Amino acid sequence: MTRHLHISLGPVQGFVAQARRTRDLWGGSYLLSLLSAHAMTGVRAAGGKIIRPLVDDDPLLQWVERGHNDDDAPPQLGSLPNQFTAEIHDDADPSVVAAAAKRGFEAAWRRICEKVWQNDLAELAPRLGRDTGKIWQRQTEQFWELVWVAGDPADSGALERRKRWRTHRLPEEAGDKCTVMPELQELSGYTRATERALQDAFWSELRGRLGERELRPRERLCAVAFVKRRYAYVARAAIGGSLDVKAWPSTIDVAAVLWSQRALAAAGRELDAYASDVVVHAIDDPRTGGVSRLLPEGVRDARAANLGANWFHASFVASPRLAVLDDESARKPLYDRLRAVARLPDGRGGTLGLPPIYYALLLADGDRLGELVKTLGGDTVSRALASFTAGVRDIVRDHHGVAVYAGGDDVLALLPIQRALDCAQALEQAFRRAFEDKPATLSAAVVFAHARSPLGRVLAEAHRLLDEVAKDGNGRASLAAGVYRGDATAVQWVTTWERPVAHGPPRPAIVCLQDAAREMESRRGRLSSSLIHDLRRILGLLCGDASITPGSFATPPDGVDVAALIKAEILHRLDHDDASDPEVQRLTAIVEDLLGRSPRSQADRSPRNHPDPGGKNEPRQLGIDGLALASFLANDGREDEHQP
Amino acid sequence: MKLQLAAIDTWFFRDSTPFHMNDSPQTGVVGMFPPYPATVAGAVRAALARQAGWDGQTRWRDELVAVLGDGPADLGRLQITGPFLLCDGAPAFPVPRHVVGSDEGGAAWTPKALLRPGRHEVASDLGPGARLPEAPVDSGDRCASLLEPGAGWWLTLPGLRRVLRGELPQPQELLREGELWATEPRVGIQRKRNSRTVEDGALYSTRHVRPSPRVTLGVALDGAPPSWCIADSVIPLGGESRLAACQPWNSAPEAWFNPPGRDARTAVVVALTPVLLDAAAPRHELVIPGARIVSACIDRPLRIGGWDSQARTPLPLRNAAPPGSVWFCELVDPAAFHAAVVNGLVRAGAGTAAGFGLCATGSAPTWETRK
Repeated sequence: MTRHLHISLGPVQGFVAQARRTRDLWGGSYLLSLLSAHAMTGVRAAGGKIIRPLVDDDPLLQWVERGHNDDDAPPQLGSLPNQFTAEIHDDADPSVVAAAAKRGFEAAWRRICEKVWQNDLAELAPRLGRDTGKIWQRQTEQFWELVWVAGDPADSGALERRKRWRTHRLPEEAGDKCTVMPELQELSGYTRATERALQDAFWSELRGRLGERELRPRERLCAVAFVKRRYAYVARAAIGGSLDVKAWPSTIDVAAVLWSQRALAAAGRELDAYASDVVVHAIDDPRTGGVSRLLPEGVRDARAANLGANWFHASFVASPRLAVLDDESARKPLYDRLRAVARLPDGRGGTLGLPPIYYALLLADGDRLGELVKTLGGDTVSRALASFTAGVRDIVRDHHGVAVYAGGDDVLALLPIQRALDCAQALEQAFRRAFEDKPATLSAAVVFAHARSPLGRVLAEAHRLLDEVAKDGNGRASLAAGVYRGDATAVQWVTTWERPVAHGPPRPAIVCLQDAAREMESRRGRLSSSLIHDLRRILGLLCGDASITPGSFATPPDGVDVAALIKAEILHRLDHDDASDPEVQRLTAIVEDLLGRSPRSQADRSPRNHPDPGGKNEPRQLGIDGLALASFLANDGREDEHQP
Repeated sequence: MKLQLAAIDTWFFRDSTPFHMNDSPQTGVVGMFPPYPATVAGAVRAALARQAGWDGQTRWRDELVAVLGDGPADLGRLQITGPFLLCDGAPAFPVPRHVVGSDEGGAAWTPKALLRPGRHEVASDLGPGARLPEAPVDSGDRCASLLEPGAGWWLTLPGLRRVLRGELPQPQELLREGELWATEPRVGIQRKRNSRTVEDGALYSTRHVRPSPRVTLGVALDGAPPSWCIADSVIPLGGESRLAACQPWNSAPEAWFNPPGRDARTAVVVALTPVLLDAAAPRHELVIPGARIVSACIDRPLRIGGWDSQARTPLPLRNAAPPGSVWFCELVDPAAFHAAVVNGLVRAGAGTAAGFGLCATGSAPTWETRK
């Protein structure tokens, strides 16, 4: 006879999502996976068997368990979730097994914190800080929580019930707060309002040692944020193997990768010459390597490929505050050279322009996993998820992105905007394949965000799109996509993976979107962005104001022939008067196919999403955001300064 | 003295996120609503002091200190109740977290069950004696563990009274948060004096709150002289130089509740304002006279701090159970419990003089107690 022991490590949201940069996001996610691996190791050593998720073949857990030498680098991607279920014998004391899990992860965390402290703070803190050691000890000892509950194998809701009673309490924190994790005190121990010079002295010296790329001006961190930022640099001592974090792509690097690839192919010599000049004049080494990490092998070593993508943005180069040079007289020639690169031919009939400033953050997870476990059994679900996870990294890489986390049914990745939706579709198909023909679906959210938007906000927006829009709002098995601009959602679109179209069977939503985007490209397309504005205005008049806010759908009055309305607008724009012209009909269908809402029917729980526009007895609803998203993609996420 | 505070334009109440010039908190600064009790208490104390002749700059004279206290921890003779969110002048409360339901495909959240302590103790990190909250077996939903609290929903006063009697709220007793207030992103700049263009890097973003015209804040004050009345005035409230129109709050129903009967062995306690938790208590939990907590429905704690304007230093960040938190208690000393309850309300935790820790008590749902 056996019992199930459910274990959960936290706090997850605060630890992972509070990230200033992409490397912090990966760092928090990876560290949590690593600590989870140590907790699992403790459980297995105490006689428990991890049954959910299936981890026997997990590379990170295998690496932690086998002990390793200097040549055995750990996997570089977090793959273990923060909660798991173990099977224990009926007469085993669950508190003993849980204590073994706790000892395992606490020992690993303690070792990591000690190494970071010794490497970066041990000498400086007593000299320049106030009670820095006490702050460090308090925060590192009291940050984590491990909750556990043991129960009957048939009781799958025990952990959810335990989580209804949140008991984790961070310690009381006095003083000024961390600029990344504001619920914890910053490490200097001084108050800025009355002890600014002392506080600045602490952080200035630390910044001088670590470099401004590692600790930005105005950053003042708590112990937990500091460990998250720095542990990878002491990984060999702290965790037993090296982690490669030197060239982690930033959001700007991710946004620029496809442009870089195109530019290197079309104007490699000019780009390399520009890169050489930048290296000569930039005060801080501009060769961050983030873009090159995402490029194919053949072009990765080009000089320009290793340049931080910031240097391909004109506003950055023009700013003495952002792009610090050894000689101000070099700024204008650099700027002019960059502009000249932008005017070079791109080999496709146009000019290169400058890179997009928008990138995509993709978040995906399986739908109703709890119910799936009940109907299919835990073993079947775990095996399918393991199969899905094994392929995620390659799928993301094939789309020129970087996976931040892939474990269980969860995926978090950063991608260039032109490949993000294809990647989402590929993940959805892989998820269904992993479950063969069993009733399992995946939902995803893609946020197209400005590269300088706060990363925590973008991640929060992705969670909102996934949970509230794709899942709760559209019935799951859905994709929600949004454009996040200036701290607000400018466009919000949701659809089932396949959607009903004007003529013929349902089509993949991504294809409908790409058809429209192609027709909206400024050089070649036949649909202008003014069509969107006019349709928005007309729908607003017909349906009321509800139709003109991001994410909204509205019901036109009975009898309105939407196709005829669209056709009239297109004819007007093309200065055409033949409504039967096949080209006009094709363009009309492209627009109409994106206007309708495509929720998953509430009545239909079948595994393949059955688009059900408005439901069987519900009138058709229309919204403009699909077209607005297509227009954004057609423009490649460029702001005015990036136009050639 | 009962006051109703109405927003003039928007309000900005910030959480603990650092908000200094030349700092760049990585998520920007998000406004919150309703404000914490200490924020309203501070604004009201300052307004009372000005009414009594304070010039707004110098330290309070002894006469003011005797009534209003001195500093953030000492409120003198004042006892503040609230703030409450008012809709059409009547108080509304976050849906208690033991009310769980579901929303299917974008439809409104529908309450379906009241959680209560499970019948059996469960082995967990909570230790012996703790029982996890669970839905009754007759809740009518095969996936009771998937039912969620009504985040983003509020209850009218009759609705909360109904819940504390052990019944589910009626649809007309539920208020959607989106209908009560909206958030507005704002961008602030610092301009150069000579060119009136933006200083390089001098840009910040906040999110203000615009309450619906139906929504105000209600607060009751005891301990101030009647002549220090601040009704029919405009007072600063919150950050970014936002203002509130202060009016008498006379017409609203009193927020009273029916406590458990004298022979009851169980009680349900629901937080109406944030409850500052005691770091020394077991599990940092609530201490209620005469009651032993056997289960609870509590979300992640709020982190509440503030600014000590006298010492010019941040106040310590402390943990607080959010409004809507629920504790299921067994009455080990009913007399002590009932002595602490007035009109079905009990104050618990720290900072109760400033409005923290106000809880409503109820008689249901009940559950089988253990010896």
